[in-house]
Amino acid sequence: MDNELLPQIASQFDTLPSRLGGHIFLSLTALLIGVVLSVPLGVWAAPRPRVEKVALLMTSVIQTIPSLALLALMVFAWGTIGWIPALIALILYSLLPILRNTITGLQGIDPAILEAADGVGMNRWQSLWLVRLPLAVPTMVAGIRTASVWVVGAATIAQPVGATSLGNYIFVGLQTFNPVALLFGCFFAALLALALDGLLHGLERAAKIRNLRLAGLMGCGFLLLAVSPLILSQFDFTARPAAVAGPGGDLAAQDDPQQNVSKVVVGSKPFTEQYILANLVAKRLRANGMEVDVKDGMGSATTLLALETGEIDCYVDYTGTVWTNFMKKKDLLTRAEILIGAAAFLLQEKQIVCLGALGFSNDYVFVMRRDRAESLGINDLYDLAKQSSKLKAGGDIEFFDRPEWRNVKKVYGLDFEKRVAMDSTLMYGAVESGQIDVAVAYGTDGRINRYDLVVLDDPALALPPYDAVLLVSPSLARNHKAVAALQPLLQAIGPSQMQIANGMVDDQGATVEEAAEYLEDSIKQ
Amino acid sequence: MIELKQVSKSWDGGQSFAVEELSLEVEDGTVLALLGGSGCGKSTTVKMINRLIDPTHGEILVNGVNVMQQDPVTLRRKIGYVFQGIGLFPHMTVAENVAIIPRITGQDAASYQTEVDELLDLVHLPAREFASRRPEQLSGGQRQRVGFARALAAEPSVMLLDEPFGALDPVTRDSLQTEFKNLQRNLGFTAVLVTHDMAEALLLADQIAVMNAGHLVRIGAPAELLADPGNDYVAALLETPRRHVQLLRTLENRNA
Repeated sequence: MDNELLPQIASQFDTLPSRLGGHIFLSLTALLIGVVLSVPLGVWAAPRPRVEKVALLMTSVIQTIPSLALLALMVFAWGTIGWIPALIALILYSLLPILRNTITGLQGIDPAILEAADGVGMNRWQSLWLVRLPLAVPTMVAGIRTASVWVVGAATIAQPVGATSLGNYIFVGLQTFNPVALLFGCFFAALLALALDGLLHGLERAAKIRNLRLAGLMGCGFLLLAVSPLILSQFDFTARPAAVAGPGGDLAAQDDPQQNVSKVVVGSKPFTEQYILANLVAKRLRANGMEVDVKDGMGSATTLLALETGEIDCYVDYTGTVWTNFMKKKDLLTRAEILIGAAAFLLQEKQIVCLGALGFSNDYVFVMRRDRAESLGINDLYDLAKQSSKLKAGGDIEFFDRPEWRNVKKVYGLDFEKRVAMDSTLMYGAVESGQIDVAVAYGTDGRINRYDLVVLDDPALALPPYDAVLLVSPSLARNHKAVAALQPLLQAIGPSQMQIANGMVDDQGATVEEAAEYLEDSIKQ
Repeated sequence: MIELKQVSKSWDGGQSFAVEELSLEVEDGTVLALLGGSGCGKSTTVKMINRLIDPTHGEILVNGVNVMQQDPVTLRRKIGYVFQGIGLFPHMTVAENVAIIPRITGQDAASYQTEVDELLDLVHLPAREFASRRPEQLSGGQRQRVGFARALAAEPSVMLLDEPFGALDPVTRDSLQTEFKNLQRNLGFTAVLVTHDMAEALLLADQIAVMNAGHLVRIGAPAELLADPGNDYVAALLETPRRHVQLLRTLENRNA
């Protein structure tokens, strides 16, 4: 066990500088701006009951929004993904505890002391700077400490909107069944929260006993924390160059202005196949001497937006998704017509270049356990429709809300007794154990073979084909070196190869890197 | 010289008065005691002199100048203020508390260093021992000594004292009262002392102004009041110290 675990942990350190850097950048900046906004607001609101009420009400309302929903809202509000919406959401999150404690701290000062401040002849500013703020500082810092714990925690879920943070370990760990990555992310997030809390506690103590040396020491601590990703990036844990990413990456890259020039950002949606393909694409580009950064597991709909806005430079999408979700088409044509139609649409409407198909398609397929299908006499979706009212169906989180489902439901008249939306990694086990009768699976998933599931035919072609296509930004399409590096991937990955690669990660505990290496080897042959 | 001319204060737009048509004069270098029970308007009166409260009607003159025509912040910096809550700044050392007025008036820190030491010596808190302590490390009496030193730092010609000895134990109170009397004689400032304790007023004041329900009921030197209380209220206030003295005499005679 040990001789397997250690290299796994070591490989996680590879991405630590960029992810920790992104996390620290988000947390510290959000806290700093939170303080700059909340403290003056608190000073203004403390003696004004009506302002206090409104300010606390508004910040409390923000607090009741689940952090993931708040992040998603910011994406829509600012029309962009990446660290900007994440930072704004985190700033909003930090407001309440700092504001509330500033007000409490100021209101809790002994009236005799305020009378003394007036009595000795202080003006309003002197009273604020010399008496009221210093006496409120311990309560204010306690609020900042609360905010810091919230912000460090919430920054872990900034990953689906495309901000790099320690949350990448957690999301990727969940999607690829990798407990090492998951625990690795949790460990460093907790460590960061503790370090921040310790530094703030020191600052609070320094303010209380008015010790400048202690305050300076804590300031140095903050500085050390801010540059810690830079220091970490100096260590070579796996004898491979560390990827440098996100705003934290910018921090780490300041010394070397050339690093940003030819940097390519590869995106991926949040499931195993996408992680493997993103890794493969990145590997090809790196092998051709390009600086590459991978943004893992972005929200399925935000990935195209990210490519359009230039957050990422390339990713793999599927023609059926473009056809139904972005083009809003209901009619189904042949595989080739949909491929050409989708490519033309992307180029004309979004200025996105479709470099070509990879050679396999990851269709939505209805699967059942072989014995169950045989006993019910179900071979295709027409057969399924006849008995669907007494069957339970499961699909990924979005399928039953997608236009594909509405179409297939209408064409065959499907009407299940119950529909369950679940994480895609869980539905194969659910159909195997009989918790659900039918699963809407991904055609290339390795577990279809492993669990011996039957794929039901779609004779009416109600489900569109999902040919995997490599989409790139116009600037990357003009980069000959990059196109040459990616060219060998086109029409080179067959459905069985993709299924094997997916199975390696999902079933056999291989890493995403190992699955990508398998694909690369199979291409060379 | 402090003059109050027909001064009134109402908190409810003239329906009732905390202080009504009060006129007083305090001669330079003398101590006036404002005496009365809770809610008689004595604290309100003293706070109107340094404009912590603004009067509704009437005029208040300090050294011949109407206080309403002065900036309240500038006015307060020239008037020493000591009160029962003491109000030392808990996050500052003893020396920083005493130096607060020179500091907020923008004086150079080096210029008032020796002055602070002298003030601490004056209130019998040797600077070497007490300057860097914090208020929480002092006894109640020591804190009020710092309060006095802070008020004296502006070298005021007028001092306002709002029940300054009220929160102290009898022994500490007695020694601080004596020290206050000595300080006042040596420095020669004019003082208004608010108290509810007739014995304190008799000991410390040159003039005693007795207030009841916002009105002045009697004013005079201690000897005058003792000789002729003038009305039943003042007589009742004088009764308490008299009875204490008689009780002590009886006890002493019994033991002798």
